Amino acid sequence: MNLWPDATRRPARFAPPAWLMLVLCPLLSLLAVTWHGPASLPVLAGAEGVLLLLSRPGSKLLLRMGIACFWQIAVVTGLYCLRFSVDQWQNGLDVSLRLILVFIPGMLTIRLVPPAALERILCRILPGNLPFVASCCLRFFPMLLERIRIIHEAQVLRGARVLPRELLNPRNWPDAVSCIALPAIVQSIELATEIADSARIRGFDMRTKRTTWPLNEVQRHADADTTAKDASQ
Amino acid sequence: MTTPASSTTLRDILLIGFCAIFMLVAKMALRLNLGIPGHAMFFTIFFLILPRAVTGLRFAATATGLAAGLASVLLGMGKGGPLLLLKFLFPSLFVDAAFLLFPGYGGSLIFCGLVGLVAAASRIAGVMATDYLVGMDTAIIMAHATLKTIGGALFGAAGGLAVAPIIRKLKARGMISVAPHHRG
Repeated sequence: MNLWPDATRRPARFAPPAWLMLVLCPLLSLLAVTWHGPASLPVLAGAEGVLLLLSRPGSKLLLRMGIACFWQIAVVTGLYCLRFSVDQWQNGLDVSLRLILVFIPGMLTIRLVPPAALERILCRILPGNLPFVASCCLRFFPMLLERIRIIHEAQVLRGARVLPRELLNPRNWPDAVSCIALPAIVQSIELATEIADSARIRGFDMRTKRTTWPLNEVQRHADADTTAKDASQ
Repeated sequence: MTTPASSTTLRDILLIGFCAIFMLVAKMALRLNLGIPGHAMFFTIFFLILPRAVTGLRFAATATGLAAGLASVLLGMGKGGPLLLLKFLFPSLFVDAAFLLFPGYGGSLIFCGLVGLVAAASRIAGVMATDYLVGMDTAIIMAHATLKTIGGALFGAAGGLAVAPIIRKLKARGMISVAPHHRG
């Protein structure tokens, strides 16, 4: 299963570095919320428009965005017209456009930041032993999904009504809880126990300082390899 | 053979991490289907109550909510930028507070449904903060926030109702301690 379908389906022509996107995204969203000057809307719209062009959005994505924007504008402007008068539609439009500018950077970040880059950055910014936990979770999550997929297939073969089209019927939802959710949670607990035991055996733990292989050691080996190669040439 | 306490802590924190990722993946998947407002709240509440009931850690739901919230802010999912954290924080704090005050009710349908309803409704504070900072008129804020929260609250209650039988079955299998306990 692809967790970040939008980021890989249609690669961007020029993707800004991941760290830049991860800084720009919350910053642009925050500016759209807090900056109320007359130039704020055009400047933010221009900046986000450039990023949108860089991400090469497909027609499907543009359509989805268009529908979301339409509903946003209709609901907020409608509320303004209902509460005050029809003359107030401009204020409603301003607020709804601002809400759209808050939402676009996030969508762009999901599209432009590949998961591997995200994982590397997480390992740099998280404090203490959390990078170990975060990278373990990210590494083993696909394995967990694979186990859940196998459970789903087995349950379908047993006759459980959990195929996607059958799940459209609310009467089959209790089946999904007992046949898929429960075994999936048991699997998650088992996988977490396995990882924790393996980590403890190898000396990695939450309460010891060793949560990663010592970097200087890795660097020393790499330097030694390079020196040996240079010497042989 | 007994499992060492440090290993159990690591297992619990890994489980919290898995729940946070599940919550994010569910939110990402549900973003594709527009139409029903607040439907993502079903999985949010489900994956907030679950780690709290399974691990018994005092701040398990808050940790799950914070992890998922921080990742959402970094990925910019949803509206509000850094304010998005509030939308995760209020429900998760409420779940932790409810389990702290009423330990041992994890398997009760009524308790989980009520916790889900109120926890999902508590997210109204985050929505109102965003609307206020965007400059929305104060008269409109309440109506807009209520519109956005009411669907979420109903889906939150459904998430709570879905997680209760699972907790009961896990207790029956001995995967969760039956006696109420708090750790961490």
